[in-house]
This record gives sequence, structure tokens and C-alpha cells, in this order.
Amino acid sequence: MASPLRSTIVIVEDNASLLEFLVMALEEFGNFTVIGAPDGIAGLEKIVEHAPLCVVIDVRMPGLDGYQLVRALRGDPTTATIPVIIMTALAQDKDRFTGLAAGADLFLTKPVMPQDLAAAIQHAITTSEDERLHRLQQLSDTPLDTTTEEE
Amino acid sequence: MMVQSALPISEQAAIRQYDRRRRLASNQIIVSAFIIILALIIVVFTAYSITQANLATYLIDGVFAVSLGLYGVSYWATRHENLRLAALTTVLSTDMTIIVAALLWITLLGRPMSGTALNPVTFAQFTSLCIPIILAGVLGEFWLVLATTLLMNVAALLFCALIPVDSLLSLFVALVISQQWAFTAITLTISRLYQRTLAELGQAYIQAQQLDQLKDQFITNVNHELRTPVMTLQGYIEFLRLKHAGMSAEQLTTSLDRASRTGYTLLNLLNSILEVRNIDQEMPAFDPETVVVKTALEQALLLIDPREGNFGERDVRVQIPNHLGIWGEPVRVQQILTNLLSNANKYSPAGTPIEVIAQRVADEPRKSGLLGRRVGQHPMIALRVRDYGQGIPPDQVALLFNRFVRLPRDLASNISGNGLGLYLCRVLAESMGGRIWVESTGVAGQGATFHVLIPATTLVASDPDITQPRMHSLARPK
Repeated sequence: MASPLRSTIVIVEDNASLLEFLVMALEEFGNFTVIGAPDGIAGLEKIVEHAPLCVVIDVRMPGLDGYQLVRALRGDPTTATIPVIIMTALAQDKDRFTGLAAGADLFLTKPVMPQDLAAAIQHAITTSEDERLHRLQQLSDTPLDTTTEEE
Repeated sequence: MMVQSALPISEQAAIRQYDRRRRLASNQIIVSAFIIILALIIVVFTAYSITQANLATYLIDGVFAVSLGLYGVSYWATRHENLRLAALTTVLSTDMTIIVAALLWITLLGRPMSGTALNPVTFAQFTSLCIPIILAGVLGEFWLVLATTLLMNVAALLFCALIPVDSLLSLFVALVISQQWAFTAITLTISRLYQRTLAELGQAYIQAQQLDQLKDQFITNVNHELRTPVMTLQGYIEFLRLKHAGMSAEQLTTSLDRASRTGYTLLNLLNSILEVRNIDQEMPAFDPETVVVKTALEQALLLIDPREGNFGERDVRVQIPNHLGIWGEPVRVQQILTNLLSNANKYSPAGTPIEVIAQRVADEPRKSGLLGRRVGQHPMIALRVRDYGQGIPPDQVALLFNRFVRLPRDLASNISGNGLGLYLCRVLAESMGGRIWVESTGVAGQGATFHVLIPATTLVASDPDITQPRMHSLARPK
């Protein structure tokens, strides 16, 4: 169970050494509770289970790749508003476009310094609530009006 | 003069197009030159005709004018890229010009000058009848060369009929006809060689294009493969730089050990890339020694990260006699096994077994030398690594052991690789006097079996397991 003072994030990365490092480093640099997953399917399960405040996803993974995972998250209302950072060794513009088109909020090219990644995650988490509500509105296609309920 | 059919259809079409453009360009140059030359001849001969006021000379002048007109048609056809018409009119026009010129010499000019028609100049005139044959070879196709040769044969025979009977006439005729067919043979041979060279150049160009694509793929793959371990290593260094003051000794040691392991992973990757380059230049010599197969397998398994693809959880079934020995180089044998096991792990689903079997066999007798003598059989060690994964499409098996090759299916997948592993396996196996191949139906679930055959060494000791080896799962450190 996540500490109330720490934000929970999920890292989906198939390289075991890097995943091990990121779990350790992000808990230290970003004061996060970090949950790691070695592939797309395990990552999806962890995200649904822990409802993290941010997800960092690698692209080239066995089974469900990063782009497919992002689309799966965006297609489910319970996970659609979670900020997603794609972090990949694929460094070409077309990869960046593909990632952002799939629905990622941020595209980072490896190597990324742990403190930079922590800062990017923190920034994604503190993205304004209005943006998340806007996404929810797009999904449900009904205007959210809290004053109506009070009346 | 057909292009070799070994090339793909699109490349054959490209070569035909290139050949066509070359012939059109040649025709344009030849026709331009001939127009100028013939125009000069016409001017000179017209002046001569006027002085002679002879019907024959006017006729000859007329024929020259028609030839000039045909050259004009050829030039026009070239500009409109009608190769067949251009070649035909050029050859026809040249035929007419040379036949008329030869006729002119034999009937009007040669006899009065030398007193006999059979003189060196006459022979030279007959030799000029070979020029259209060469021209047909340069510009036209096989049928045009043959047709031109036959036409020149007929022309030569007719000219000989105009020459007064001479004791050397039959010899002269034989020489002329033989000469023309000799030129035909040479022209066709040169043309055939040219077409073959063109086809080989086309294949070389295609191979160069394919290598270029493979190189680009390789660079992309290596770039991708290097970035992750570099990030890990750089991350640990940065982490230690910023946080070392507050870390316990145990944490420091753990971080340094992990960073070091990542460094070795990176080094191994770089070594595999550089090894390909070294192999391309020259495979380093080695002193062969006895390599115990089971020991090499255990060493190979240690090099595979158990966390990669959950390799630590895989059931690796081993059937290898304890003292089975290979006559080779330990690191090379180990590298072959590492690559094959790593591939089996990557390309088969978690939970399916990987089988490693080794046994002593006699190699198939091979033939060597011009006479195909049977070379003596040598005892070999047959290694088999089998997985139960997606297998390899049979039509792509031939590609597998080449440098930088990754199958189209794998490029589209998320399975990483640099296209060097199996190439290295092949080169290493061959360097030890062995060979490698694969059997696969391409059906998912049936996987692939990689076979490696390497010369055996004398068994170190007898062991009951050698005759009756049992398959067992190998325990590996986690």
C-alpha cells in the first residue's frame, strides 16, 4: 500500500537491469512509490491494480508493446487520465510522432538521467486538474457541471 | 541477347531499359558521324558523276542519297526512342552504302587501275562488308546480326560473280565468307559477354542496395541496443555521484556491483559488433584443445541474464554425456551455445522447454577435388538446441546465417536483436572445422532446431552416461 506522502508510479520496462535501477533511483530522487513491470501485459495489470499517478513505458517489449499499452490505457475510462511518459531508445521523429499520436503525454529518448526523469514524472503528476477533466469530458461526451448536482 | 533470368523481374526490366538507352545513344553518335561522312562522299561523287555523265554513276549517286535519307530516318527514330526502327535503318543504310561502294570499286574503279579484280584493294572492299555486321551487333539484336551476315554473304557472292574467272576466285570466295562469319561470331560473343556483365552488375547493384539497407537496419538496431545499457550505467554513476554521501556501505556495494554488471553487458555487446569486423578481416588463429561440452554449456548459461525473458524460470533440458569433448576453442564453443540459447529464449514463449542435446556421430563422407574423391569420415560432435517457439519460415532459412540479417517478421516485432548472433555462430563453427544449420517447419509451437557439427576429440574417460545419457533439467544459479 502506498504511503500517503508518496506518489505511486508504474514503470514498464523489459530490460531487467534498467528496471531494477529505475525502481531504486526514482524512489530516491523522486520520493515515489515505484512499481515495476517487465512487459506490457504485466504493466497493464499493475496499472489497473495500483491506479498510479503516472506511468513510464518503454516501447519495444515482448507481447504488448509500448504504443499498444498506451492505446489500451487511453481506451479505458479508469486509466484514460493517467499521465503517460514514453521512454525509449527509438530516437527518430517518426517514433516520437507515433508515441504522441498513441496518446502519450511526453516522449523521452534514452538515455535519461534519473533526476531528469523524476522531474518529468513530477511535472506530469502536477499537470492541472482541468486537463484531466477535459479528457474525461471527451471520453464521456457529457459536460461535467457540479453546480447542477448542488441545485 | 536476353538478360539473365536470375534477377528479379523489376531488375531485368531496369537492365533492359539501360541497355536500350545505351543502344539509342550509340546509334545517335554513329548516325551523326555517318551522315557527315556520307554527305561528303555524295558531294565528291556527284562532282565525279557530272564529269562522267554516266547513268551508272548517277544511279550510284542516287543510292547514296537514299542511304543518306535512311540515316535521317534513323536519326529521327533515335530522337523518338524507337530503337528497332533506328537500328534497322542504320544497318540497312550502311549495307547499301558499303555494297554500292564495293560495287563501284569492282566494276568501275578497281579493274582499270590494277588490271585484275583480285587485288588487295578489292579484298579490302570485301572486308568492309563486315562493317554492317559489327554495326548490327552494336545496335540491334541477334536476328539483325544473322540477317545482315546472310545479306553480306549474298552480296559477296554476287560481287564474286562479277569478277572474271580466276584460279584464286574460289579461295577468295571462301576467305570472304569465312571472314564474315568470323566477324559474326566475334560480334555475338562480345554482345553476349556484355549482356552477362550487365546482368552481373545488376546483381552486384542489388546486393549493394540490400547491404546498404541491412547496414541501416544494423545501425538502428545497435543504436537501440546500446542506449538502454548506457542509460543504466550512466544512471548508476549519476546516482552515486549525487547520493553516495548518504548511502550505507552495503547500498554502495550493491550499486557499484550492478553498475559493473551493466558495464560488462555493454562491453559484450560492443565486442560482438567488433568481433564481426575482425572476422570479416581475418578469423584469428587458435590452438585447438579439448572442450568438454557440458562445461561449455554451463559457462554459456551463466552469461545469460536469468531475468531476461524470465530465462531463470525456463526448463532447459540437457542430454549431454559428461565427458563428451570437442576439438576446438572453449570461448568459441561457449559463444555458439550462448547465442543459440539466447535466441531460443527470445523466440519461444515462457513456459516452453529448451532442449540441448549432444552426441558423438560420424560425419557424412564428403567429396573433394576435381575427381570428387571421397574424403575420410571424421568423428564429430552433433549439438542440437531446440525450442518450441514460433519457428522459422522455410523460405527464409537461407537468410538466417548472414550478417546483419533479421527476418521481416522479427523486424516488425518487439524482439530486439542486431542480426549478428547466428552469423557469428556460423563463422565460429566453420573456423573450428564444423558447420551449422537449422530445421524448422515455420509452424508456431513446433519451434526450430539448430544443429551444430564440430570435430570431436578423443573421449577423456569412459562413463556409463556416455552410452545411455538421460535428459535432465539443468539447475542454474538465479
